[in-house]
Amino acid sequence: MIELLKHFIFSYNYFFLYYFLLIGSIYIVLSFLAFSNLKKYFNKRKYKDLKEVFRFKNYKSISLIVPAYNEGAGIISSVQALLQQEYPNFQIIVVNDGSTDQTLNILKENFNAVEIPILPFHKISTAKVNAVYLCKGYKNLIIVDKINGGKADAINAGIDISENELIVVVDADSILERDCLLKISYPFVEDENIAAVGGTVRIANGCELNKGFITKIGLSKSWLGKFQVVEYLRAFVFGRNGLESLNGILIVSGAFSCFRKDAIIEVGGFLKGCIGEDMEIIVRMHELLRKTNPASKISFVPDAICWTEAPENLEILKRQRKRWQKGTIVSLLLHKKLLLNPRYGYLGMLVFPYSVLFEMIGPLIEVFGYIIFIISLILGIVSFNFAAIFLGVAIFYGVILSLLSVIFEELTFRKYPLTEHLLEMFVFAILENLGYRQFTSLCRVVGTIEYFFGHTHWGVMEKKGFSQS
Amino acid sequence: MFGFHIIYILLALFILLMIVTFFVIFLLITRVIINRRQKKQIAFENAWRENIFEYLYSEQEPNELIDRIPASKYVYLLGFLRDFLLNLKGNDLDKLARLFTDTSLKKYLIKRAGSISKKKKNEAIYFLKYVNDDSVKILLKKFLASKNELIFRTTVESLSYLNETDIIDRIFEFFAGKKQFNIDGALSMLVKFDRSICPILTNMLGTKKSNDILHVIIMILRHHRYAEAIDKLLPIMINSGHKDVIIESIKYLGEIKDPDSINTLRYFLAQSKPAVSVAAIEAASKIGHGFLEDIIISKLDDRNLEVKIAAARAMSTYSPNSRAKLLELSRQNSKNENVIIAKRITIENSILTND
Repeated sequence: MIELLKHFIFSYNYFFLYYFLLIGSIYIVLSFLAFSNLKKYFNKRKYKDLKEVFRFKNYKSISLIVPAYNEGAGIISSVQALLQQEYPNFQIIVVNDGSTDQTLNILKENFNAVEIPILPFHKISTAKVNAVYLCKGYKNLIIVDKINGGKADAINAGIDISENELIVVVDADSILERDCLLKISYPFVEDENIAAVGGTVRIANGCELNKGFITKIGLSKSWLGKFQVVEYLRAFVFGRNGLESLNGILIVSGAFSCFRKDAIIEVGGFLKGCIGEDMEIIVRMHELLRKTNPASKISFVPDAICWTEAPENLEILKRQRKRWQKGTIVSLLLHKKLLLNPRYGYLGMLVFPYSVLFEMIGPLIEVFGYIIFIISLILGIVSFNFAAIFLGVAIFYGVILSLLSVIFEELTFRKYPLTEHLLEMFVFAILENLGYRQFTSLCRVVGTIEYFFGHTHWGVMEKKGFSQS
Repeated sequence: MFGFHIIYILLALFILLMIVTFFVIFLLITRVIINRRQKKQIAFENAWRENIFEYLYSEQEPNELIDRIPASKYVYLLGFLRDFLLNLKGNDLDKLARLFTDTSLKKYLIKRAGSISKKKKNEAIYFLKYVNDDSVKILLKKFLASKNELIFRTTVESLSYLNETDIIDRIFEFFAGKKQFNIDGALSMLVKFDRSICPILTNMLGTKKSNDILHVIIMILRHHRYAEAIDKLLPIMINSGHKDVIIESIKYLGEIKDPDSINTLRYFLAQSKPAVSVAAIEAASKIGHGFLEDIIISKLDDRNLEVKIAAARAMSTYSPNSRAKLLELSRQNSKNENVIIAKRITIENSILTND
């Protein structure tokens, strides 16, 4: 029996090593795809005047939906900043999702809200809407007050009353650059097969803000904040970019994304009560839209940037990662028929299996692997040589990939003007592989366990707020 | 034995350190190169801005300016001119565009267009539109055969700037060759031609069989409010069974505001498809004249709520009588759907018009 156990431990170590080799190699391939995609995008953008759509009047009308739950403290400055977006035809729909604070009253008072009758007409069903308000002096602002039904339900209520061609979903505490609507909506102008577009999310901790806009880009002062800067770079600069070239994007950020309204209605809107509603809807769009239109696409705009506050406290970070993991599991399990289904091309044959193996089950394999590895070392089951190779592969690949994402950032966006910021990101790109990555994997394992034992609630995300200049 | 392992670990750490060092050096060099390039651009602009403005507002010939700028600096000149070319209009734009005509800049761009680098080729194609001579147009049209979408799009943009309408068929062909015809893609290219594209598209109405192409053509005709296409369009919309073609044609009627098309709208208002009814109500509301008042008011009792809402919106502006009826309805104290819709539209209008 002991021999059998030893044999299992020994074999698992090898399995774990190959697992790391495989995931690292996939990321390297993905980084090449991302680089080629980014190069193509920036070549195109260099001689593309996006504002030409204003001249030729072929822009799409946009409804910008802001779901708000207990956002009383910052909602006014957020809406005021959103109202200043450079775009000729957009409306903002703030959906108060049964807040228990003063969100609704603050909105009503500050924007001269006047109640209008609710139309007896629904494209998507939602929790009961209490009232709809138009705002005197703000032609393009609508406030919706509804019974609490969660983020997905609040977005659906916004979609339901929207009369525009595109739906942009923005978190109430997200900060958009002034030309974000123009950038994120442009792909729809050139391609009607695009069903959704995701923007890039960056960490705003350490940046300076004035009147709802970033005025000075900086790095967070905390270790956790800096780790997340590098982590987000990796996810957006080459994760999303690489997958876009395979039409394999499985998630657009819930903090900032854009959808063709008819596509979102065709698939039935966001899934009410779903934790990972931003991922679930994209996977569902792939599944349903490709049946009627095989050319249907999910796209990504790397320079439509939304800044958001990242947790700088381990407990909140843990809650966030557990929630993300539960969202991933829900989305993948609900649409398991995509798995290895050739009808969905690269998505079904490569991206979906990759997500199941490395995103859903991956954290379990990883954390279990670390435990087994430590036991093996203590019991002397694996040789010192193996241990050296194992650590080399596990950390080596991670470091290289994190460094590459910082390099891609420098070659393309150059958002961080100070060289010291760049070098600091480099240091944190190395350090994040020595504890932070393992910590987030552990959180995801806890998330997985909680999911299968029925704890599927959101968890509270406390935010510190930004520094105002 | 233990020492042997230490050597392996040290070796691995050394390799990792080398890679990190390589990346850091690469990153710093990249930053220096990009910064230098930006500094050179700024230096060029500082050195030549006054000369370029002097050229713009004097009788100076283009060659007098271009010959003074070293060919190695043309790349910065293009960077500087780009925004001006986008924002200037009329004589100023013409004068600036003459810098590209019969100067060594033209030769530079033609040479660059032949480059194997897609980036350089794309840049050259973008600027060649300002040369505006036949040889360049012929050269540009050759790039329409490119399979690279970026090159194809930039070429179409340059040729549409020059209003070379003979490439319209090639644009349709490009999109028809795809897995799925891309209506918005074709529209985004055709919208850049001026109104002279309309007679050509009108002729195509009789020859093109694809509903997607018809859809795009009608959208462009509507964009330019080209009323002369109506005779060719009416039989198409009456006989077409394609919902999008019919709706787009109805929108076209609303845009050109032709009172003679009221009977056609009456025909479509009698149809049961809600989306068609909505488009017809909106078009009738744009045309006005009051002849369809009864039908529009009756549409408030349609089974479909979208049609009801469109009818109420139309009633609020269509005629004094329809407006009065909507107002009367909105004052009723009832939970009837029509009353709610009337109230909503009336309040909406009062808030938005007071703004």
